[in-house]
Amino acid sequence: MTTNKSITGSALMFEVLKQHDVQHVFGYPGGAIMPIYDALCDTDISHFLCRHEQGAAFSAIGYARASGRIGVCFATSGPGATNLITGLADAMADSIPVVAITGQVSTKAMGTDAFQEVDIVGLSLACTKHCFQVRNVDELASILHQAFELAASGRQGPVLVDIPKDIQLAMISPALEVVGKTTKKVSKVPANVGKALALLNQAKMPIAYVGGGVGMAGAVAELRAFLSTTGIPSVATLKGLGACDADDSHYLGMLGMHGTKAANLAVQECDLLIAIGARFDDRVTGKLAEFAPNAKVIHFDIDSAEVDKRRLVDAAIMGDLKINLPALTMPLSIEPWRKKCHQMHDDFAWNYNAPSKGIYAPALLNQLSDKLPKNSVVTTDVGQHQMWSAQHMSFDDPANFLTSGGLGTMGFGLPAAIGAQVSRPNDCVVAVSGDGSFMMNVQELSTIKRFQLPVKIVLIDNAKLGMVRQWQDLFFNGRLSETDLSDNPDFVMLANAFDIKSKLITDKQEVSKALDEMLAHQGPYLLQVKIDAKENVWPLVPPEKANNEMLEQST
Amino acid sequence: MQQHSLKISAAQQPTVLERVLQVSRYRGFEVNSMTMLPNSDGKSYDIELSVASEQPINFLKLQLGKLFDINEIEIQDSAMAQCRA
Repeated sequence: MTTNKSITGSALMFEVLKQHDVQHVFGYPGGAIMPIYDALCDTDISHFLCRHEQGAAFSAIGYARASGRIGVCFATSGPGATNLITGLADAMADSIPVVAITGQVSTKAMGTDAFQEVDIVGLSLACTKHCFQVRNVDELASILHQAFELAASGRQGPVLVDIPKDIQLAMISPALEVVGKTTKKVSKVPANVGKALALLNQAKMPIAYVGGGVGMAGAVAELRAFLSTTGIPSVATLKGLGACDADDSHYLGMLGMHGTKAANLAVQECDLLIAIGARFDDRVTGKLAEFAPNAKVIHFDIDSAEVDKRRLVDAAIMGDLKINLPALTMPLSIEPWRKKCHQMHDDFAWNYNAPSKGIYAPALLNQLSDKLPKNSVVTTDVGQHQMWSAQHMSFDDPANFLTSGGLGTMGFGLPAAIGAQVSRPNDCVVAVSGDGSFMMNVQELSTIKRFQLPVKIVLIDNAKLGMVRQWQDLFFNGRLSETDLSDNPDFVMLANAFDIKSKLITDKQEVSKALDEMLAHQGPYLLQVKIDAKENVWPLVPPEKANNEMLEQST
Repeated sequence: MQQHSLKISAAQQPTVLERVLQVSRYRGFEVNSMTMLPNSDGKSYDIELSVASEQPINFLKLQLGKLFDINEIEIQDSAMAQCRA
């Protein structure tokens, strides 16, 4: 499209966003981004005003993870931009495609310690895939195109574009390049799988170790076909949950620090570990030198820097899982191993019989999981409630379970739920949170109120920073330090202050009816669930121990 | 610690040197020396980087290779790690 009409850099920015099919953005205005917010008035793009830029960044992440689209967030210069950093680091750690656009002081003022000036390019070097700073309006469109392409290509991640105020105001007669939909630039050439095939044919006790890369590659169907045809038992990482069919009795659940006993024991025993879009993270491996000690390793990944980074592998298959997984999909003769894994799956099944009158969070979350309608999205914050959600809830797609994995950011859940709800307005979205995490981005209740987003919040309340308390009990001689949150606000009153319906339950007899009431409510809802502060997450693999040395709940 | 040398071609962009140094430090490589000269093509820098680390140099090569502004990297020392395709 060529036009003789002069438009501002801000207007051009929105034209480029439209070209990339951006329909929703999350942000917060301020001085250095005012021209962009003025131009917003002339666009069809829906802007969701958050109440903290960190909330905007996490909403963009939730939006991206729930929909497969690129999440977009705006912030002004200085403190607005620095408030994005945690979100950018989270997106970087979990490989989420986000484009963050920040205002900046005018080019003439840059470098003079101007009001609300900060070197956001410098600050974002360590937590973005790349960052651009626009120094001339003529390069604005090209930079934005590159930003979208880069965020979505290969191993996805966050990209920041910093636009000085005078560039936002500058006039330009743009010749807009015709841009196709942003495509992932991943090789479509099948990898050489010869060595991997040989390993597969020799294996008697293989395990598929399924990570977040499967969902990000859009390869859930290919993975399930691979598992179904080969019959290989599987385990999943936190970000891989939802990729395997949770009803398959050869799916052993999550592995790692709080993984299931069956998953961890099977991995320790296996003779072939097939890592599919997973990166041997320390939460998974436990003591690395003793992880899967008897196994040869096949590693499927899109990022060659991950291969051999933590564990030397015997065969690496780089590229697109959708193309490469089918190349290894064939029947195998491993029936004795399958039987053994099935037995472990049954022998070590979860026990939900908690004797006390109080509410047992794992049982509540399991019940919630059974009651959720199909295609529901669950987000969590970080801590005990997160691990219980991962252990006791089932998901049928990785896009339906959004949790901060690599960075482990408290405060993720509520804004991520907002982003997920915006991207999937017809699906049920539930944010499972803890009383510690919930306070970290509680201001986003305002965003829920403003847009009447029907997000349901299940607040697991033990009046403690629960996971840290658990570690202090187990590894610091029970010396509790700064983990008492007994001065929390009245969460029911807090929700009501935002016109959000809420309820408190304390007794297990109340659970089923309360969950039904919450899910049936047309609108946002907060269910505060009091639990015993002494409950721990089990199993737990202590630091510097192998996964088979897990601690379990004493009976 | 092992000493290694890398020859890097990078786009002439403001943040490229900072990124090369940040990645090197973060991934456990101590920078002993760095020279940077604009290439005669007017679009790229030729960077020579000497580093020391216990880690295999291929780790650094692969991480630097992910940077948007890096065009090409060559390990120049004799202890070249295998690079998987």
